[in-house]
Amino acid sequence: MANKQSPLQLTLGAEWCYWKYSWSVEKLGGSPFVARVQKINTKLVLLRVARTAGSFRLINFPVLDRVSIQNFALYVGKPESLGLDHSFQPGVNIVVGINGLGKTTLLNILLRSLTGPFDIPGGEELGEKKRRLVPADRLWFRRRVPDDAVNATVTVWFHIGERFFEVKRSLANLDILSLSIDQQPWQAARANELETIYQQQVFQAASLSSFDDFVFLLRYVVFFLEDRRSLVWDASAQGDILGILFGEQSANRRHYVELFNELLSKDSEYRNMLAVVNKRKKAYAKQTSTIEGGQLEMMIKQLETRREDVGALVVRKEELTRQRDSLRDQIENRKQDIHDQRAEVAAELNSFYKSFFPQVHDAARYLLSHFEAETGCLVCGSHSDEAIGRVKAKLVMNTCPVCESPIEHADRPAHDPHTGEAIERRREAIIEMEVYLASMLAPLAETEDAYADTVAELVAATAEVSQLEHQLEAMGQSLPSAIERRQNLREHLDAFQSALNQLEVESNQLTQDFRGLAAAIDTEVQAVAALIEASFARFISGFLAEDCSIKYTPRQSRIGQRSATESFPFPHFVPALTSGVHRTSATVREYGQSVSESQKEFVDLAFRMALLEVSAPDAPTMLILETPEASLDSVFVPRAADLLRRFAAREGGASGTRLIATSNVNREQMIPALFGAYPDERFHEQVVDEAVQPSPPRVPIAERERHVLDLLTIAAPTRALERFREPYEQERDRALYPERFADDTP
Amino acid sequence: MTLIQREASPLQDEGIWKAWILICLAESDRIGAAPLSATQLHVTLYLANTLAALFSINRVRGRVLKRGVFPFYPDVQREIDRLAFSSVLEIEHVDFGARGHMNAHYALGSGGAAIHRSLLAHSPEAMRTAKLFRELISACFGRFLSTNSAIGPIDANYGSNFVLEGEVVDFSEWTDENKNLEVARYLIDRLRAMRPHADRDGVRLYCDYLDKALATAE
Repeated sequence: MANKQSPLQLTLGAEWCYWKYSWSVEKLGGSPFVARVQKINTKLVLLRVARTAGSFRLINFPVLDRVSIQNFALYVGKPESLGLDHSFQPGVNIVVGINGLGKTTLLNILLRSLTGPFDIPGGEELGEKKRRLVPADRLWFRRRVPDDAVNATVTVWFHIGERFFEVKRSLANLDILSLSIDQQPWQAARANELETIYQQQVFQAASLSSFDDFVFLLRYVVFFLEDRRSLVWDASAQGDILGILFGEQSANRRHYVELFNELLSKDSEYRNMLAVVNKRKKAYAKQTSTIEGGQLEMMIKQLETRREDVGALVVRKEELTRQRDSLRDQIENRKQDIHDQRAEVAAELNSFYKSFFPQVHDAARYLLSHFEAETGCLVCGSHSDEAIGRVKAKLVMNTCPVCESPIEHADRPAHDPHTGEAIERRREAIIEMEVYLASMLAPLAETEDAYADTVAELVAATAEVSQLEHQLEAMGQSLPSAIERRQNLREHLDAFQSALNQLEVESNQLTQDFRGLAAAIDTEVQAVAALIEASFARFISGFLAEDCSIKYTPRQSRIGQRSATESFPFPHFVPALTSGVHRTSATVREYGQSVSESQKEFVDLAFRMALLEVSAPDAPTMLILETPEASLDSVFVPRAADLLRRFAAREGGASGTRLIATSNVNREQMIPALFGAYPDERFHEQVVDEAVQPSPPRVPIAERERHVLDLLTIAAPTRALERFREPYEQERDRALYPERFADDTP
Repeated sequence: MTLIQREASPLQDEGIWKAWILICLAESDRIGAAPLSATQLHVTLYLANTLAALFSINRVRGRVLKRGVFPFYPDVQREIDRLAFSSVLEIEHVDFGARGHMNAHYALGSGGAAIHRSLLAHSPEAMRTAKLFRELISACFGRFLSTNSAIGPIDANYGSNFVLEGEVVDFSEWTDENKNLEVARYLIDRLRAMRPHADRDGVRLYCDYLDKALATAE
């Protein structure tokens, strides 16, 4: 069915009509309580109008018309008609039996007839499981009978919307044996192919996007069996069911489920990968902290440090070399300067001595000249200033420097260098240079010491580096795999880390896509939330005396188990109810453990009924219940039965709705109450709110047999039945036809 | 200048220097090349230092200041003079050499010959040193060193363009840049094909190179 407007737009339109209507009711001055119920009904009418107009998506629920079970030892049948063959009637259908006659088995057969060998994921809650079907136990029925159900079959006739299905399955393995749709048989070589055709046709007829969603709806909404799972207190399941019922179907729904499953997979992959990465990291850390690893690490660090030291020392040595060479160059130059200056002085003094001592040999003059040029005494090696002064004084006094005799030709004119300014300047220059030379000796010594120390350090550091290199080499030889293993671990770690990053990127992309879809579904469910809340309030009042309501509170939740991921809004209703200790106000019961088992059961049932009513306001639906009276007390049996009867007797487009309930033959009065034939009318009037919700007419006595599947006559009798058949049958008749036993009523 | 300051820079390896000076002049005397001028003596001592390794001798000093056209050791000059005035050597005459400085010409002194004999008799190192100087003097004298001591621009170490005037030429083992020795070994290798015992001719070959190069430069 094509959507021309979004559900939100339509619902807002319906809301507008509702407010307009409620204004008129108040204006007319109607009773507030009656008006409230009428308002709810009006809202449903408006929604129905919107859907009938073809602008709102309509989900078609399966409605069982007939079931036939043959050759299954549990249902032997009657002599005139073997096996079980029963047509379900619009309204109430009751499977009557006692313990052990196969009531639960029958309901399971009905379920598997529709789902085939598939089921929703196991466990108490849906939680973080992938939204896809898992194989069901194909041999479950086989184990129930002694002949392994080899020839046992079940055939169900049901319709979904306008499509009529006839499916025959083997109860030995649940394979489809034959399939007819709209009286057209489908032929296929293999059961698997027929199964695929069946699934395809079913979910299309139901206006769903997949067969998986169909099975989810059956399990969580239509079938209310003993092994049912909570819908109200399983937030994940509730979110999914609300999405299936009220979210936009077709491609978007499929994409939503794909993304959800993909995100779960990515989460799982990420965690697995993270575990591997952490494991590798530990292995790497362990490897590096082992004796050889730690020693290796330590030696490598030492080697790096020492190499840095060597580098610094080389730089220092080069610097000192430059300083030292520079000082040496200067010193050598000053020495040469001093020598040259003295040679100059000596050359000038030589001419002086030659004039005074012409007969003296060259060597003697050489000696005297250099002596006076302050080279020192070349004979004895003395540098003494005193000695130099003495010789100088003798010459100044014109006496022989050796024997102190007067010089023979002292009056002879001669060039006397002692009086020349030039020679004095040279002497001063020599002194200056010698001072300078001396001043450089200390820095040179310091530099040479520093150089020697640096070289010594360098030699030591180089030796240590060399020693460490040898040790490493030796270690590498003795532990050949140590370095390689560490390298391999590092490479593996990097590879896994890279894969982890890739997963993160992919997850982010999926998250981005999923975010929009989740928000859209939240908006769509929110649009019908008020209807669901109102419908629930009406149904739950039939089951519980406590004030109970549900409130739409979208649940922010992450997909998967990682904490550092984005959370999304999931549709969610939270129940609240009063109790014996909380009388004045209803308290939120977010967790199933906070309510009693019976309360939980009825809150869940009322929620399912509300969902069925709101999602299919103008189409027949089906609700299959297992022993609804089990958790009810005497007052609430007629109230609950009345409510279920009203649900089953929906009118208009919803007529044809079926309620299939199993019930034990007992005096709990559930069976007559479901037919509207409550034996104690006075008590019934006391406990049922007929003023608010008029009851549908009771099922006439003549028609009741068609509404009953009597396992007392069909099922293989148990010992108890064989022994007490008559009282059991009397009790059955009392339950089915209380009018006939009016006189016996206490 | 005080005595203390003067004595602060004594000549390093003074004894070895004296031995080398004595051996040099003794070998010159034996060959008839003596007396040697101070310039010739310094050039010979320098060459002996650069080529000492060819005779398995430890050089006395591997450094010399590059200043002027020939290598000169100013601190060694005083020791030469001291030997001259202690009769180990003698100054035969004095003339004026470069820049008008007094240039003594040295010969073996009266006490020198005996010391020389004693040295050779007790030290194989001294024997090898004597052989080095013998080779060196016979390769240099009567050739370039008799007329021209200005080997500076030609000598491989001293004339290196990588060492500027006023810098020290360093051919010590630490720098491993004794180009004289490299030239000598190169020549030895070139000659080896023709002369099986070319190793002992290293000194001569290098001096031949100096002789020819100086002649070409003139």
